[in-house]
Amino acid sequence: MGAVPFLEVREVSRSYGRASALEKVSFFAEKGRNTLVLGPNGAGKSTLLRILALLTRPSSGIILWEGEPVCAKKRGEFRTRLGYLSHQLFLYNHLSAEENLEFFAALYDIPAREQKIVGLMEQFGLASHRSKLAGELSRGMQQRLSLARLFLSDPELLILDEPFTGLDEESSEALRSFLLSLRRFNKAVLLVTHEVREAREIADDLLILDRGRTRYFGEAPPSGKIMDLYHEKTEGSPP
Amino acid sequence: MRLLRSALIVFGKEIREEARRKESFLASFFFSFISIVLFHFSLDLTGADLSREGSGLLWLIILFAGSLFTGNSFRKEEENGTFQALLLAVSDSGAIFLGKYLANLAFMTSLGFFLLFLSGALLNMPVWNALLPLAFVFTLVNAGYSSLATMISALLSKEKGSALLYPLVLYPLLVPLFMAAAALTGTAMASGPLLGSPWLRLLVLFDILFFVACMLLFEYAAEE
Repeated sequence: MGAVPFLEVREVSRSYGRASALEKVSFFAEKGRNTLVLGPNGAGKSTLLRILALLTRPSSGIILWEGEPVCAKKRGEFRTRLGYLSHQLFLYNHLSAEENLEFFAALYDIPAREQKIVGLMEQFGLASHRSKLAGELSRGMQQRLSLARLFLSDPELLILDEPFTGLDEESSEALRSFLLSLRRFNKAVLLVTHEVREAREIADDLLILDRGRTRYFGEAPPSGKIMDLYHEKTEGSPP
Repeated sequence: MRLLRSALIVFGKEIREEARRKESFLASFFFSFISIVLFHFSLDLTGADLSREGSGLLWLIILFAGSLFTGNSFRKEEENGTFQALLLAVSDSGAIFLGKYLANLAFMTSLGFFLLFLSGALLNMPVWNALLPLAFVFTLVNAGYSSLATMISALLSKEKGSALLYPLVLYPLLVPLFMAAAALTGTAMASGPLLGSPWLRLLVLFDILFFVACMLLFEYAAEE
């Protein structure tokens, strides 16, 4: 770890009325490392990811990017540097696969975007589906298109919320291999999933949340031990 | 400059998407057409001065038909979570508001001209000799309508039952705008002077106030 972590979360809390979703959660994430976030239902995982994606404001606490606090004025600027993928696809069903990528590439103001789009479509096996409407693609293909959209802007931080949801065996395997390959691209990755089986090989660090609180943060144990640690910290709750 | 560029990209996407979806667009135009046809057959308009009552009817149709389209502005972005993707792709979220606003304004303008044509043709409203002043009034009213309608759509898009809530929240806020709209449309159709009218001042004030407020507050409305 360098002197200043790439992303640092300091005592972040979030409440909705009287209900508290997160309580003083602290951790950090480094480039080139994948952080697996585990927790039972209602632990606050998705809330935490939405806060990190700067789509929800925390009630208290701060987030630092390379040591710089994410202040109100710069939220939009920081947002364009991250990629966020949830179980929702973030695709326009009535635009073709290519039009979806063109639209987001134009918004991100990506130079030489035609070349980049063609490259991404080939990389994600979408070349033969480019003119199909996104709504007519299979769930697996839509997920691939979502991933291609995610990589348009070459984000430094990737936030993935349940990316395996609804995927068939083949697409899950493709996604897992892809996430493994991300270490080479020096990205900081935060991954929330219930499919621990899918994610344990790709985790470098582990954050365990339960009832909005941090129960564990540190290096992930060997893949076979992750669930033991998880059950120990969450009193046996299912992930 | 970057904000305007991003807004135009969002505007282009809105037009392309709506051209394919068609649902909101067709619902609004169909409602407008049926309303005018219904008034044509149900009202005895012989000898009636339509410059006053006619303008009220016209704006009533626009109020309902417009909200069928504008209410869907942000609701459709919830289908696949695309609103979040939009927020992540622009450095100034005001660009999303501006792009959607322009799309709603373009739609409201086309709806306005469609209704002017229909009301002139089927209800014998005196619109043909007052097209320029009417275009002026319609542009100002639609500018105010689009600001508020776009913002309310964004605010309610995540709420359950937003389709029902939308008109309940929007219509009361539009009352001053539509009072001015009906009065000025009546004046325009009666070939009266528009400039200097207190309704015109109210309209301009409403347009500026709501456009600026919505642009400034959109970032807060967009985030949870």
